[in-house]
Amino acid sequence: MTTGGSNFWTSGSVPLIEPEFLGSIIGAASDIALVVSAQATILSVVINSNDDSFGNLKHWEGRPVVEFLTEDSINKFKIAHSEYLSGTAPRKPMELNHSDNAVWQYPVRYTFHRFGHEDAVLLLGRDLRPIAETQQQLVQAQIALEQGYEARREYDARYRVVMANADDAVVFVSVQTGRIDDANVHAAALLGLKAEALTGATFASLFSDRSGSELIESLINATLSDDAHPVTVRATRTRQTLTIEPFVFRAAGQRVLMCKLKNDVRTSVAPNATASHAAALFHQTTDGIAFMDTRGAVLSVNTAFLDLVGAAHMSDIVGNTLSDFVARGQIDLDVLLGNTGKAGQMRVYSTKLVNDLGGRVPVEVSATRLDDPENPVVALILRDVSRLEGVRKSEGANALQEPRNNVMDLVGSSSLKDIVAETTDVVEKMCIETAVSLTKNNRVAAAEMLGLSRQSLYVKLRKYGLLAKE
Amino acid sequence: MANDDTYDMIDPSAGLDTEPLAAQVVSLLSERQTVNPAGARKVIFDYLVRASLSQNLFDPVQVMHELRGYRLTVDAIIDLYVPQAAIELGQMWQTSDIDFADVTIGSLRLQALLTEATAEMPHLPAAGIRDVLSALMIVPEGEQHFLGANVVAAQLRRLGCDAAISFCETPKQVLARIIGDQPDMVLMSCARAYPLDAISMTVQEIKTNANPVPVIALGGAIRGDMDGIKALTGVDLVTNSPKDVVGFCTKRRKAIGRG
Repeated sequence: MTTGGSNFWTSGSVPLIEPEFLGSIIGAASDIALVVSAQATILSVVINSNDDSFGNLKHWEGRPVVEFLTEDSINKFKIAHSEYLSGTAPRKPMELNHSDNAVWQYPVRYTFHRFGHEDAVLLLGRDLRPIAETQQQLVQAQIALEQGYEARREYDARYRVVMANADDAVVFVSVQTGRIDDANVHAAALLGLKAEALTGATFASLFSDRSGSELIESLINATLSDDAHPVTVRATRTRQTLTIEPFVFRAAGQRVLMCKLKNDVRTSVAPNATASHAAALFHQTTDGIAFMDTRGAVLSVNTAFLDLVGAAHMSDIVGNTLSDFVARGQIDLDVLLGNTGKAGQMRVYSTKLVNDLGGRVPVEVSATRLDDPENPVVALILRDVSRLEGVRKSEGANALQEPRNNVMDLVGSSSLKDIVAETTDVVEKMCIETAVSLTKNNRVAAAEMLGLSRQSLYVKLRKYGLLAKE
Repeated sequence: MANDDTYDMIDPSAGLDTEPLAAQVVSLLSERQTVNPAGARKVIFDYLVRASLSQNLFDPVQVMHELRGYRLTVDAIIDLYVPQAAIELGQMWQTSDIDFADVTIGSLRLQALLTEATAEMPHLPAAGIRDVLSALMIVPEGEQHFLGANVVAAQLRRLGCDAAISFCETPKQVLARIIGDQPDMVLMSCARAYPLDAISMTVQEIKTNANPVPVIALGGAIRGDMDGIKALTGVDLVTNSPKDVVGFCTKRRKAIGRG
């Protein structure tokens, strides 16, 4: 080896090292040195004489090196050794893990060196145990962290079970941001949104009578004074008067409000008889009643509506769009919203309610837009007409006899092709008339309902002489 | 052709030689689509290995953002990219390209990424004890490789199971836990060559003392004769697929009328 281009070692200025000193020099220069034969047998083990931590390894001599390697190191050594025998000594230092009788293990970083003894190789090793100890501590620290995560997962599960099963409507609000950290389904139903949609929303935005800072301030004040009353607010979406019982606590340094929401029965029940009758009707009628905002999000429904769509809880419905529950989806919703938007109300509109299981209940809907400039709401009354349909069908049974006779008259009067073409026209005209009628002559909605372009609908309206209805 | 056809709007007289550009773009795109045999996209995989070995700070949130930027799903990150990157680190140690300290730090970084990815998984609704299968992953005492066990636990949770991990507990503690918590399945992770007779003894202990007896599966760096290992250890199945264990468990529950 030369340093800085000097040929000091090869020039003969240093006499040959006497064999009795060589071992101790090698031992001192490395922590452990092995001489391994071409057959991968250990010929000699040299250990730094100043370090006795390796113990006595004399029994390694004369035995295959792989007997003292861990499983993951055996193949690694074999590849490097065979490369060495084929003339390409590994250039990179190689880490091997030693084991002895599976009692202990330690990692050593070896370099391969030729030393002129046939194909035997001199492996000079650096003891990596100090690094391995640090590594162990790192791994232990990580295991402790993982155990911490496990414990946290358990707490998290408990929290979620409590939130899902508690009868109270609970919302957690960050004092600093005024935003909702979490809310349960009962709270979501009272506020007219889905629980997931509540997370991250500004708490005050859900009430029509408070600004952000004002609400948080009054909630904090209510937690401070001993005789404080719950804070009363009016929910924007459900139009209900709610009371909030706040409780403030610290979580990881951050102030958080736990707010219990309650439907304020005292103020919700209107003082006059009409209102109380209306409220009783809402709860007791067999017709479904639903209130939605002007975008179609359901704000509240009665029990009869739940029965019609086969839902178990209010929270399954409230916050969803009405289009999820009607057969024609967005088309039905557009018709209802469009007509109530223009005329303020819509009388009998026929559609079907669908439930999760795919069941369909035919209903007649009447819709009314309730005038509230601040929070316009559309009220729907839905009547189950499945029984009525049965009656209508049996009434129509006699009428159906007549066409059968007419068919007999028809056959022979024209060619089959003409009859079919005529039939298509008749059906087309019927469908278009129905769509126009259902949509109260809203051409855009009718075209969408029929799956036609607006232009095609006009062509057909002209063809069937329906434009006169304009 | 219609006026709104954007291809018609390119002015051929502009002198822009678009062909080499297009070829370059196509070549870049196809390069980005190259996948390795395990199915990971090379460009993303290389990035992840580089990041886990980087001398600079490893921020799992930032790495997660990067991976999401490639439109990877959380599932792909957990199932494919994290385990494949860990395997790559092991192979790099085998070829002496990195030392074991790099492997350890890289694995811990992948572990941090896995924790970050798991946090993005939607929480299952709080279900009753009868509604979900529960699993206990065991990382045996003295075992230092637990990334694989965490990957499997994340996969089990995604399959709708409740999964807990026992890290380096004594066989006595593990047994007490199984008797107390009554998991439906016990999965033993063996990342290194672990004495099979020790596993066999643990399995016997569980089968003798637990009631009901859970499904017991063995996974990890198990090589060789699977049927032989199964017979020797007494486990119900030897597999690295959580789906197999859940399937086996579901069938058994149905067979004994608990499903």
